[in-house]
Amino acid sequence: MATLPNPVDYAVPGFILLVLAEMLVACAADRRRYCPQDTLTSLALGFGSTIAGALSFGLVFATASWVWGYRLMDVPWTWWAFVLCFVLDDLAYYVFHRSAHRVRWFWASHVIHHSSQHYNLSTALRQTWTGFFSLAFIYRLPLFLLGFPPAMVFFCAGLNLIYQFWIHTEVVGRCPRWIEAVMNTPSHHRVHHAVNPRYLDRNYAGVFIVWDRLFGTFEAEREDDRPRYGIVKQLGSFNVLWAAVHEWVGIARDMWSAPWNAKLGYLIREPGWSHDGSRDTSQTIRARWQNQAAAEPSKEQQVGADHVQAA
Amino acid sequence: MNWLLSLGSLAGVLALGGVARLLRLGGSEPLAPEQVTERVQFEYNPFRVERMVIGLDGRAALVRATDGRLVAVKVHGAHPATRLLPGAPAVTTCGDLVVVDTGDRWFGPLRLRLDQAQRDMLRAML
Ligand SMILES: [Zn+2]
Ligand SMILES: [Zn+2]
Repeated sequence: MATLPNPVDYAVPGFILLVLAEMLVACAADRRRYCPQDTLTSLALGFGSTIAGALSFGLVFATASWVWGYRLMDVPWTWWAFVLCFVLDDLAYYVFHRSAHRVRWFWASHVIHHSSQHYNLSTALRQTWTGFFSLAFIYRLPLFLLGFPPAMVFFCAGLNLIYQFWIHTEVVGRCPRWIEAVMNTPSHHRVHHAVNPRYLDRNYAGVFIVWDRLFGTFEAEREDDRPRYGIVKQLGSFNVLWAAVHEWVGIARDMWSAPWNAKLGYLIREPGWSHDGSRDTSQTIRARWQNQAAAEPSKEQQVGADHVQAA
Repeated sequence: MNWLLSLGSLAGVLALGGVARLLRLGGSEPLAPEQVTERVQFEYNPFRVERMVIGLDGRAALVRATDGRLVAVKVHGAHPATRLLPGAPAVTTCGDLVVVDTGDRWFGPLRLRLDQAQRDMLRAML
């Protein structure tokens, strides 16, 4: 089986230089775009994530190769197969990412990426330590079953991750219209990282925003609703370990104290779900905001054609 | 990933952390009543502020809603962070420092520096 290098390894110096460049811009434009403790936490999480990824990669690759053994067809090692693989892998990423926001088990791993109240290039490197444990790789298994060689898929996945780096910035406003129409951009991904009721659980795209437009999860960034970043219940801590595991601890605590018939819900339902309805989910937050806006005509215009997404 | 790359990445992490400090990035203004009100109204919507005390150093605040909910606000890096407090939080006083237990060890206790009038007001809020 052919092997390929991990493109992310080669991108690391570029990541560092671009973070440095964005820091210099922040120094001139708005010092509060960066905060040293937050940056260190993000980068430490990123570093830990590469270690965790390297440790588990052998097992993931072995699983992928085993599944590939049952492939439906033989995808050739040609340029168009790489293009097709990249597009389908991005679709698999969309499905994974959507479930990572709608199923608490996967959210517990993904929340790390959203746990900063900042939105800058260092936030892009705030990556999970528990991706393997959460079994996130299962979303790529259909690609191997289709016949795409594991080396090809992981190469495309690396390129996908590299693409997603540059969109974590407030330095870039809007890109040309055709780019905003097709590609995931800083503007679209700012929406994804925002906790404004309008923006919650929107824009799951990795590289191509068309998936969100196609599956009804797209929301455009608005001048009159500036994104506020982070998670609904902000961490309020720069502790790296706590950032990495806090939601897993939350799941364990909730399952421990819940009645038997509700325990599973704390694992597989959406983040914020509770058996007695005492907590907020993205739907309840959005619904409340919409009701208030409907009652206050001045806000009605802001809500516009927004709708509650059926999960 | 090889060890050279790991070490290089680690050096990059520390260097960038150092640069952020050197450039004096971050920092925050002392908490202001309008900012605290806006923040708690956003995060605990609906939240009608009944009263609040802001520490003399502007690093922390305690807010009470008309429905009795109590929210702790602290400066966390360049942004405020908040916690909804349990029913009757434990409070300890040492001179002008009042420490309110938030029930969240990772968020940490709320440390308010208050003058006498503010301490009296805080007592009335709890
Ligand atoms: Zn996400
Ligand atoms: Zn992101």
